[in-house]
Amino acid sequence: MSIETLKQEFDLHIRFIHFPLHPETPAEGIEVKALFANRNPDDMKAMGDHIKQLMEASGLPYGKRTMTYNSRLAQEFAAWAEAETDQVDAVHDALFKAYFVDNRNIGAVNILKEIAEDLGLDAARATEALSHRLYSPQVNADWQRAWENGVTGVPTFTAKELYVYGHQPPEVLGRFIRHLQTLSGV
Amino acid sequence: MSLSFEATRLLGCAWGFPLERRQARLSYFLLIAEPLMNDALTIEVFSDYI
Repeated sequence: MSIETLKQEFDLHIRFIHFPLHPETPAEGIEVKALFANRNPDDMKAMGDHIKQLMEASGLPYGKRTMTYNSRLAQEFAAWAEAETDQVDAVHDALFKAYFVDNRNIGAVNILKEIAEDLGLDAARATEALSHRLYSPQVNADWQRAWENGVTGVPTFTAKELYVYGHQPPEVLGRFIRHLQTLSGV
Repeated sequence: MSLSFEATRLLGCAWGFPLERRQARLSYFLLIAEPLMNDALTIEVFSDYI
């Protein structure tokens, strides 16, 4: 993973800003093939193979996904973890694994509760936060920030009003960080 | 680089002072070093889990 590689070289703090990639996805999810029904199947296979290759090159597991799910509650779950626990990085990892490897519905409260339990977090409090949508304003603010800054895809890296778009090798992100350091006079 | 070095240096200064002055120096460290870290080393990533 690029970010992990960079953390070995630089003293970095990474913070997620939630972005609505497919907010129209229904709560029960939809089949991946339905989501991309208007795409050429060969193109879709090539895209899937490319992502799998990138994941494997970075040492990350990648499962065969048949479904895609609405991520809104997962984002609110992570916002809760950031505000009320010291395990937000573990939550990010668990959510990615749940979706990309285990094909689980990360839009379902019971699944998020299980993730909280697996991580040793206060699952009752997580469920309460999700049921009452306590962290919806934080996620709304993140989405608003994306729209106001013209962010249209993920990942988009930002600091000091500068932006780097899309998947980038560690070398490119390293140049970005060194540029930021120059701006900071470090 | 590095900010962590700078933070350690400042904290090292704090350790060299008697207890009653150490507290003041630690406050100074927090005031000076924390904004430096936030300014230079925090990168935010717009992302989704899907």
